[in-house]
Amino acid sequence: MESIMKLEKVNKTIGSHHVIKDLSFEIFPGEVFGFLGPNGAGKTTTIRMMVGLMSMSSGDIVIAGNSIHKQRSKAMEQVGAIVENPEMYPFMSGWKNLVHFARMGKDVTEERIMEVVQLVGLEKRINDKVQKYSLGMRQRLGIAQALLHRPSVLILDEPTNGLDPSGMKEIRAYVERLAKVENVAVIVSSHILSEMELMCDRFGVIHNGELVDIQSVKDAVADAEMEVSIEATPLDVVERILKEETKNVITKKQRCHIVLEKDRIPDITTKLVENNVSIYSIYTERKTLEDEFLKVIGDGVID
Amino acid sequence: MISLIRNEWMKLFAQRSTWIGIILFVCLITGFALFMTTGPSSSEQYGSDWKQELQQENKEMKKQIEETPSTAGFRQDQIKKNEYRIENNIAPNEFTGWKFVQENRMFVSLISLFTIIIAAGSIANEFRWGSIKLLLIRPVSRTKILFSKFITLLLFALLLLVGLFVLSMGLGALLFGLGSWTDPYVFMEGGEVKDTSIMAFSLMQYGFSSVNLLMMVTFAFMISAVFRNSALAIGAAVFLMLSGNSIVAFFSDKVWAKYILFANTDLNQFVTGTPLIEDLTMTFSVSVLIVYFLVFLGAAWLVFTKRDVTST
Repeated sequence: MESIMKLEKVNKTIGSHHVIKDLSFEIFPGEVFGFLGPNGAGKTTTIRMMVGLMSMSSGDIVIAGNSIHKQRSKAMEQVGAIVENPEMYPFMSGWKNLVHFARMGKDVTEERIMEVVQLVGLEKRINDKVQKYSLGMRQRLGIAQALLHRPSVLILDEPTNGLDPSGMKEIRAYVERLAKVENVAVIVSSHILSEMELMCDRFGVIHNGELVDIQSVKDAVADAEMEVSIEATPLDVVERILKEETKNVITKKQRCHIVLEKDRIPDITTKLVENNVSIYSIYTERKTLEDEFLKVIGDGVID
Repeated sequence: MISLIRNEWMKLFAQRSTWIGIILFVCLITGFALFMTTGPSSSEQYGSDWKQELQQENKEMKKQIEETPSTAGFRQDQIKKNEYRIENNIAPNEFTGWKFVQENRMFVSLISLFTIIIAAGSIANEFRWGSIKLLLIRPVSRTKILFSKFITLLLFALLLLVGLFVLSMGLGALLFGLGSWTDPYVFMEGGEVKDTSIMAFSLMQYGFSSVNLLMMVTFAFMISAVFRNSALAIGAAVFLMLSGNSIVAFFSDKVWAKYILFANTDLNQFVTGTPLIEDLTMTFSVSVLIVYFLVFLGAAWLVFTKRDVTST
């Protein structure tokens, strides 16, 4: 598959700091790409370079075949973005704000603006001034603004910042729909890792300006051994059987915890049943993105 | 480009402060007009035998010159003007609406102030609101965005200038009677007395006053783009606007004084007065102004198009 956005050996030096070091990766149409990294890792700088707010010291970013250096306008036609907070003009209505940004794009009709307003569910309040909007409504207007010109790449920097759980869920639904139905490539950066896990298909981790890992969420979780927790009686029998399978058995609070591959769970269950153990529950504790993330960046602090 | 200017225009008039400014401006002019009708008349009234009155006036002035020679310059000009009127049969102007229009030229500096405030905010505010991030990620070059803002400022100043002219004409006609716009107006140019129609003269005066406006607005715009700080831009521009003449006076004995912006902003000095610095000419001043203008815009452009937009 042809990538829609490609970073080629991007470097950025600010003063004497080498902030971004040889960053290269690709984003494909229809995928939701999570961009992770602790604060100060270069996440925001990278995003700002993707949308042309900051220049690169060397390297290039190619969007739908257009170099951001040489064909900036053409490249930007393909990009919709919210960089940090969606800061619109507070003294104008939501509608006027959208008209404002629509005029800066290509072929955005009034019908299209209305369509986008409906998509984000702001019809009722669109003629109110933005200063009267709640944070959630501003966030929605921000998304509307980013979608006006039907971009093929949507960049959302901290899109769920300050949203309540239902707001987050809504954003997740838009993102999913855009990626799956309209084949838009979505780049999301967030520090709420559980959010990212639910939303993203693939993620890249940046640390100290370098790309340290890039993989799909499924791979990251499926390969790994997982922790299995079994609640069953009598506990001593359970413990004895489990010890035949694996060395590390930890028993606490009437449960046995073991670590093993997913494939072996059915065998163990059969064995327990054959030994007349009453099983109340078996569940797996999936390795989370957070564990992966911490493993990759060491114990760097995430705020 | 047109749609960008429309955007800027929309944002400008969506802000309450713009409207408050305009309303204040209209109130001030109207107030001034009403004050003029009740206050003492600013020009003496001449009767039908105005030629004799003028001759009388000239005699008195000649006497005064002998007594206090230091005031000769101003009085001599007046004498020349009076003689010119007598020779060419041009009666002294009554205080008509046109005279009012011409006097309201002083409000151009108010327009300057108003436009400076808006120029100061035009870029700085985008940064302050954070909207600059949404503005600069569009498929429109930064150069176009910068110039659409600048052109909008000029259009706004033009709107106010035309508004001032028309409003003054309206109020003048209403309160003083407009008189004829072909009334000759007598003035000095390069030591010679000339006359032109009062309307042409008024338009010329407004035009000259706008030069200072243009320069100060461009200056404020540059500061706004370079330092992204509207208070600084307003402060610097207003300070320079008010102290411009003192700066020139302070350095007037230096050779480079004639290159100071403010030695050149008052083009009126070549038509109705004596230049601040002797060897200044209209052509020289206009050239200096153009250079300053291009430097201001160039600096704004360079910084605005090249700078990284980092967290604000």
